[in-house]
Amino acid sequence: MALRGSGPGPSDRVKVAIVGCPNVGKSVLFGQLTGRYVSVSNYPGTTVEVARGIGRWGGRTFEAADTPGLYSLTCITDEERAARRLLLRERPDWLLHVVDGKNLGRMLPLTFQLVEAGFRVAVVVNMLDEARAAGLDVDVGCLAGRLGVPVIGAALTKGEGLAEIKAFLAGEEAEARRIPAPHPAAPLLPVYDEATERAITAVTGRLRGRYAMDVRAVALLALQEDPEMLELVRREEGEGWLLIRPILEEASRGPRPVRRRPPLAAHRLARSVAEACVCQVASPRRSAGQVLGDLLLRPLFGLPVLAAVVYLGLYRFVGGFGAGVLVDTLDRTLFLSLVNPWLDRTVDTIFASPVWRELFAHEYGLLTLGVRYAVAIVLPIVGTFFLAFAILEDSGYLPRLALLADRVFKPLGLSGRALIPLTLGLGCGTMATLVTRTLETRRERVLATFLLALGVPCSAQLGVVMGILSSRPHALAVWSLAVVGALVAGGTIASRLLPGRAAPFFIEVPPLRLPSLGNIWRKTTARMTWYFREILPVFLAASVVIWFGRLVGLFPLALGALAGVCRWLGLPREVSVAFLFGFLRRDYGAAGLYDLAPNLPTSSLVVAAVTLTLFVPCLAQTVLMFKERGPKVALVIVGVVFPLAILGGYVLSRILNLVGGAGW
Amino acid sequence: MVGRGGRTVTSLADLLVGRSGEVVAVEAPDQAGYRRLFALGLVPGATLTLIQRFPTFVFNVGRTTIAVDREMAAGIRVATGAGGLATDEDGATGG
Repeated sequence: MALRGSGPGPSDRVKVAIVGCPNVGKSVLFGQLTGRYVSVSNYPGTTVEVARGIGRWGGRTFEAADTPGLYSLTCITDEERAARRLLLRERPDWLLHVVDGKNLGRMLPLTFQLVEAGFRVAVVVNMLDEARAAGLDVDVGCLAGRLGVPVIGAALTKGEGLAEIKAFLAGEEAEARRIPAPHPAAPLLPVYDEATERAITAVTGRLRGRYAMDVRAVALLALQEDPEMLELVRREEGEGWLLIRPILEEASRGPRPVRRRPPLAAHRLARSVAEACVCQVASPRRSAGQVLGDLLLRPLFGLPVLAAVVYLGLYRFVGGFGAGVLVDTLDRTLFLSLVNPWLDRTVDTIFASPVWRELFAHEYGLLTLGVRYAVAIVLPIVGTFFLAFAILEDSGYLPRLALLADRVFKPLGLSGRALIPLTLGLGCGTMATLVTRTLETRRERVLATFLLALGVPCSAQLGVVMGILSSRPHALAVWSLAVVGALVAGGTIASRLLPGRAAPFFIEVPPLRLPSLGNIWRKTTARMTWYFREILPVFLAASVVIWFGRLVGLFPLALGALAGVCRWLGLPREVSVAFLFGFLRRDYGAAGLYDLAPNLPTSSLVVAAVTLTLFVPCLAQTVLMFKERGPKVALVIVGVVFPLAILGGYVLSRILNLVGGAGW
Repeated sequence: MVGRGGRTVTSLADLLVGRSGEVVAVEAPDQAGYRRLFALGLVPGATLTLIQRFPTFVFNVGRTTIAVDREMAAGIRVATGAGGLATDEDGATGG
């Protein structure tokens, strides 16, 4: 194939991309190949994370990329599009296609597509241990013979196959003896029916543009109406597109349209290969993991476990230990009592002008607020979260959680996956906003970001609200009802107004697996590093905004406006200070309310607490919203949340007035 | 509805827990959903077994377990009962 690289020279770095669908062990292989030289970054223009690392063995250097989950080259998710773009832009020397030995029939079609596209592909048949437990005998030699590409058998969590993979990458000849030799130079590819082949030939004959993959693959993707590929062909071909379009239109006509046939043909071929090379030799053994995994799907057993996981894993571990113990230790004992005073003194000796002194140090300085927030307040929360999340991810629990929670979130236009960011919002809204990336569609990410901004109270707010209202249980009940009501109403309305429709929910449920500690550690540390690089500029920007606001006297103006709002809500003027500082620092705002509490009637207290909870999120979360969702969406969210918070407070104050009198 | 070979064709949403059926067609609400289910091995001709209906529909197909909501389940047509004829492999429809 014309597009194949000439292969790496001996002195070059070998570029390796690990591809395959989710839950086949890609990141385990990546970790084993790259050791600790790992960085996680977003694929340009997307929120999809790509891990990259360097490995050295056999006298050569390997650059490995762990690509996002890819089921098929006809992409449907952001992750798949990012994976495909990465492959096409970077043209790796080798693709390691990791497949699950138990499910070869549905995984090999991607191998065909990758070979069709002109990549050099080696197949890693992983999870042979699970296949053996299922009573299957997977004949790796047979697979290599049939597929005509290198095939390596592996059980990577047990370290099996790793040496062969490394040896194979280090030099094809040396290890060719250890890997069953494929048929010479003719990889197996699906042959399509006559009409499909005619359409493919017609399209390839008219393609003149430059494509990063074989034209046959381009034609196949275009025939299957892959939107990105259609766009590319339209752009590349210009006038020629007019000749191609009729062929594609023809292909989508009839009761058995041509565009439906390639996947079926690929699937049939894959199934025949799998049937020839995989044999049921023993009856399957049901492991304890499988029994537990099945039990966790059942609401009766699964829901209590889900509650326990959310409570212990997220609320206690991330919220209590991370956001509580660790943050207190770092912030109070390290920064506030040691680092910050020292910074204040040092900065004061360097600068004479209070303008510069306050930019770098003191209450809202770049170093004393920006850096401290990123290091002492957010990093511990994020670290504990990523640790918990990696365990949930690698154990295969996450899909079980999503399927159990799905019904609850459906009315809000969200899927069960939204449980994670929304629960996290109870810890730190800024981090939760970032975690909305784990949601599959843009629509869901926007909705979740909106709900987090609207009314999910973060731990700082929760603490103070509890502190103020817990002595008056009926007030606490009203607050909870109002906030939950606002979230449900806001979510329902937003999901109606937002264009598009709720994505139908479907998810693969992988077997429950014991996560490897090494992999969890690598993932956690790599993500923490990545997160820190993302979040530090956000907090630095927030400190500059505050510094600037104070410098030009923006805050007295804002306080004046907010005092008007307070009057309207029937609240004393001083509450406006709590509102403003609540935006600058959510916990300060709530704390300000704490000082006012003894002098306020219960009704005002509830109105203030509800308004503050619904009010725009803190400055850091707002900055992150702009960064993650773009200025347009962020402005709309802020523009909606702000009036909604005031309106909510107003409605509540009217209701309480009407009900009012005694007890309030 | 009664299909060829005297088999009954129903949707997954109407299947009883524990019952198996042969996939006849997949009508996903959108092309994307159809492709994904296809990639997961839910292809015409495959045999699936429903393992639970609540809170979401969970079924096995091959050695893969898949969970779908009611909307998706309603679009998965399966033939149950002693089957005679093979299904039309291209009977699948999507968005």
